[in-house]
Amino acid sequence: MTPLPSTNKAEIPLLQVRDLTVQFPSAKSEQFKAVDGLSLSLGHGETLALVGESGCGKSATALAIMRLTRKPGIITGGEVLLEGRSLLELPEKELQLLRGGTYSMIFQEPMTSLNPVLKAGFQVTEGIVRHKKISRKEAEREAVRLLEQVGIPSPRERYHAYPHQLSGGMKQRVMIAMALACRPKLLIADEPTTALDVTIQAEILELIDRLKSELEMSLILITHNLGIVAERADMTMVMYAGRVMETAPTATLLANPLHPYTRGLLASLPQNSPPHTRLPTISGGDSCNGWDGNGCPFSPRCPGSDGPCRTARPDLVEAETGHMVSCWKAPRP
Amino acid sequence: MSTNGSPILEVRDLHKSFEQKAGPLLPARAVKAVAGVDLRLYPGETLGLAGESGCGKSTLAKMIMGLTTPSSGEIVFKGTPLQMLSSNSLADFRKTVQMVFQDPFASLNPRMRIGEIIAEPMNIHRIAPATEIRERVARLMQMVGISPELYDRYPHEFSGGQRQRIGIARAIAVSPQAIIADEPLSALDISIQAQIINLLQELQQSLKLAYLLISHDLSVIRHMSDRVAIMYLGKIVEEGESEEIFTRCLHPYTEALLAAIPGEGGQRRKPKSGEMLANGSGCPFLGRCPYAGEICRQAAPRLEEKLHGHSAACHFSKDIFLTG
Repeated sequence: MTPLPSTNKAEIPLLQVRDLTVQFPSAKSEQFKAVDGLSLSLGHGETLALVGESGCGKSATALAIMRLTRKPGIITGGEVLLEGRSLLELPEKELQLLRGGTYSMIFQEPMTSLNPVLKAGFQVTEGIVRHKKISRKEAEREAVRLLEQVGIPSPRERYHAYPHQLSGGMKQRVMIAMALACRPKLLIADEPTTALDVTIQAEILELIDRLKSELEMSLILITHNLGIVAERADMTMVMYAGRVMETAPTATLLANPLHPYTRGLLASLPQNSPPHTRLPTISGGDSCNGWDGNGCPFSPRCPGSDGPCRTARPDLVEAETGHMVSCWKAPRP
Repeated sequence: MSTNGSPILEVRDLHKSFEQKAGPLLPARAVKAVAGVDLRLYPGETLGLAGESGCGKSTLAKMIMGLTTPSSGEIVFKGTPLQMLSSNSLADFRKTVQMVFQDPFASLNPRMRIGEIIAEPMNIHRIAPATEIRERVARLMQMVGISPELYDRYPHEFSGGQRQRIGIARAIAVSPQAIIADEPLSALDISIQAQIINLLQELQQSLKLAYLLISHDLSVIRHMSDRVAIMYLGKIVEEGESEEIFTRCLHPYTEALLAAIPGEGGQRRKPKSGEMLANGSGCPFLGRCPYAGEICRQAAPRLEEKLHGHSAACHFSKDIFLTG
């Protein structure tokens, strides 16, 4: 077990994940680990950003926390504690009371995450009726209020709209209204703006920020966009090949990235180089291509890797206060 | 200015509307995807075209490539409108202007070997005798950073970034002078994006290519473009040299796009949320514009030169210039 980064505020963190492992059967090896021994901890009201490229295990982590891992994937190890309760051991019935109630999730594609044959408002009401002991009429009124809260113009009329009658941004607002219907303590947002247009993206992120402070929620924000992270996450965790490469308070991570992968990602952003110049790149292809399963998963693409990197897996160790890195070359206290 | 010589490509007052058939509840109507666009692409330059989905960027690209017929207006290749080109010159046009597509998974024929994919345009245009083609393909593969030994592999054996390299090799196979690149990076991961940006820039240098780069990502547009055109609801709302646009924008929509770049929002004024509506006689951005006044309701502003070489379609450019 690696030590967890210290968190402030409450003594017991809202969410604790320890050594989480999610596996998928694979043709190449006997088992492919989509998430490989991941630990994290999130305090009340905090925002944690999970950053990484496609296939690095961000979404698999989120789905495992929700216990929505789809077959043939299975959670093969670790524990997930929400307010001290172990989610992975709860019977499905009890879990359903928490899911959508105490914690909820919004998905990447609002286009496919809503039921196309049910009215948008009905889909919001559904969750409220399920989790709160109130009448259908009251739940409907609550749903209209939520639609208004997430910035949908003329919510009373839009309540009766079907998903195909709403734009992408409006659909994502409906998704957010559904997720927030029962005032969750934790919201997991999986690439909430990736499918949306640039100016709409900014609006949705501002909406999530506003609701987060109104409802005093904690937030796990999954994204591949480092720009989004800089403005709103307290902590940032960089993932690669199902593992945590580096985690630190966001400002620290951006100012002083210690892992070669994090450094490579930041350097390769066009906004960090003058126009028309050559961008620094990370060599190699997509994540974990060319990695044989031994040592550090980033070693085949890493400019500084040598013998030990190829054979032994580096632990996540604290390089400076609150700044954890999984790299043999990182400074050690 | 990189606008030296005469343009390779010119688009004049181009329009395209799509008929939406009458349904059980809705009357038939025409959707204007491109509503009067003028653009020029000069040799060796990169013209960035930015805007959100549905603004008509891709329709414009398809019309330039001849994949969709314009409703009106003309596309001019080296001074001659496409309709007037002889069949020889039309073949020359199709060779000179190539396209790189957004989705590297959908744009390569899964049943062809990658070597054949790259060779195909050379065979069609009879660029070289059959005996030389294989050698040329190997050279092209090297240029885009794919080992020539992989000639006989199929597209599914490659990652997204490598497939985009294959698509680029196919585009440059017939020695074009201009490449229309429609969101060439948006399907790729960040670390791969940087590799492809570098590749496109290197090829531009060595082959003297002109790019029409279509993207919604302004950081990419800023990095690669010499000139930038911003498109909103089928119209160009601002056009100028890249650094001009990014440091002194003159249209509220450009300002909104810039404000949406995380970390660069600053004091720019953000647009009101609202639907995109293109009806009536006023300015199409009216509903979302924080500057709008009475005049904007009455007359749609025309694209006019406001500063040297920098045009915008807005009645309040002066105010935006002062606050931005």
